[in-house]
Amino acid sequence: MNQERIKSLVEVGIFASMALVLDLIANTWGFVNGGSISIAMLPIFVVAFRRGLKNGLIAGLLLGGLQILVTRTYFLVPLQFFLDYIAAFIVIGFAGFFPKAITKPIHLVLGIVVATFARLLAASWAGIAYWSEYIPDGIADIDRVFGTAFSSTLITPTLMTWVGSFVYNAAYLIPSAILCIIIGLVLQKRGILSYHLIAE
Amino acid sequence: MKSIVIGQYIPGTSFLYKIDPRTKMIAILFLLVSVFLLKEIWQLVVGALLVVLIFMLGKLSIKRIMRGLRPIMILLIFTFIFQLLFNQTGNPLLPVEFTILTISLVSVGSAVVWTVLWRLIRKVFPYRFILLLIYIAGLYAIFYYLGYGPLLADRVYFQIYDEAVLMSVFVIIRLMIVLTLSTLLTLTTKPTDLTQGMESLMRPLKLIGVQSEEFALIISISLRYIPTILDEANKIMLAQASRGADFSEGKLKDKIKQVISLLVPMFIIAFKRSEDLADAMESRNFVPGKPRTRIHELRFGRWDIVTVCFVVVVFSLSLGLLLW
Repeated sequence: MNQERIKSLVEVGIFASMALVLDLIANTWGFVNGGSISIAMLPIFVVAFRRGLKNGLIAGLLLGGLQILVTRTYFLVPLQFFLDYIAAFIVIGFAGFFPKAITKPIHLVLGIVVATFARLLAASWAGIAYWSEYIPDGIADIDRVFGTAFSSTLITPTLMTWVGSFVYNAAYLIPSAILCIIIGLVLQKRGILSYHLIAE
Repeated sequence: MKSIVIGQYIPGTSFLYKIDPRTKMIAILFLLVSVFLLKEIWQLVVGALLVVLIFMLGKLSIKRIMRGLRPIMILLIFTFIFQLLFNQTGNPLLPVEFTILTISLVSVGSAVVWTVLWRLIRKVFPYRFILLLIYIAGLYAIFYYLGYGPLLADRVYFQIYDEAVLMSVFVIIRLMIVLTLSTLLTLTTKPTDLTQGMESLMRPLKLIGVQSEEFALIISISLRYIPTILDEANKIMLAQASRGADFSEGKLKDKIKQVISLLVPMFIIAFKRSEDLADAMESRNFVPGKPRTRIHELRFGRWDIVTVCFVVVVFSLSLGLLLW
């Protein structure tokens, strides 16, 4: 029992740092300019699949914490900071709801999709939190800015910030998730995800 | 690869480095709250001067900190323009309101055609910048003159109000203060000290079942292994490059193959490494959750007293200004 606990602890720590390293070197691969698309989530998914939900959540939290400690982070509004660097990373551990993913392809895909969607929601909410703090007060008077025809439609500045934030985050999270799924499936096929787990 | 710098920490000896990490964390938290309590521009300007003073006394280069803000500049500019254009409180500053655009089905359609045309010509026309200018001018002309058909939005006005100018300046100053202040912690404290401070601050959470020691241990393991794993990733990438892999070029499919050629050894080495470490810890009789001893203990000093006094004064002043 004790031995398993120590193993989980150590694995969480080492895989979180691997996630950070992948994030750092992803910039040099250039899948897309700026390198926002990265497979940094993959080690966290793997820990969550192997060691369960709780350890997955801790690994996610740890990746967020490492981002704060090691890389440049931006504090704009308290809620935005919490969502961007803590909540958005913790929820990656939701992949731990699918422990069978170490051997079954469908579970792996489901786990990554669920976790990425949760992260997308948290990250978008962070964007909304920022814009709702800094959106002008007088904007309620939309007729004066966009004319009457505009206000009769459903498009409002609030909706625009919501959609904008969602699209912005989806633009790098969805490709990242697809990449993680492809590489995750390859690793699963080669039996790496169940490394030293099944034999015991 | 070599340009990757780990950590924000800048070595130094000023008083900022002598404050205990626990004091520093709580102090910065309270200072951030104080900034959000301020509601007037002059108060924020005083706050900004205070932050500059802290950085100067702490012998930190403000230029360097500003350079760190570059990636977020675009967001700040957006926020500024957003406030300036859409905030409609106070008195108008311009004599008349301009109608600048009319958005209708016809104009949107023409704009799409114009954009496609521009993308096509761009491939053969040598002077791209001139073409870009022509494109923007054409776009403006389309929206100004082609306002026929069902309207999606009419009369986009352009007017600037005095409150909007004040508000946009207010917002930018506040963001700058908050952004620079929040980096102070990671700039002047080693990650290991921060971890230790965090563990110490989280200790009361044990009552609700949070194992702060365990968490701090995992953070220390992570921090310790970042350079090792980075080094290893470098080695694997070089080894794969010697086999002909190219990590920065090629088609998407080739790139994914190359990433897999990096990840497979990385994962296996990571599994082996965690097992070795777990074995080593267990053989030294490590029990998760039990108290540990450290080589360096955190201690409060006289700078902590100064910091606490400073923060108490600043916080009560800003609270007073809010209530007054």
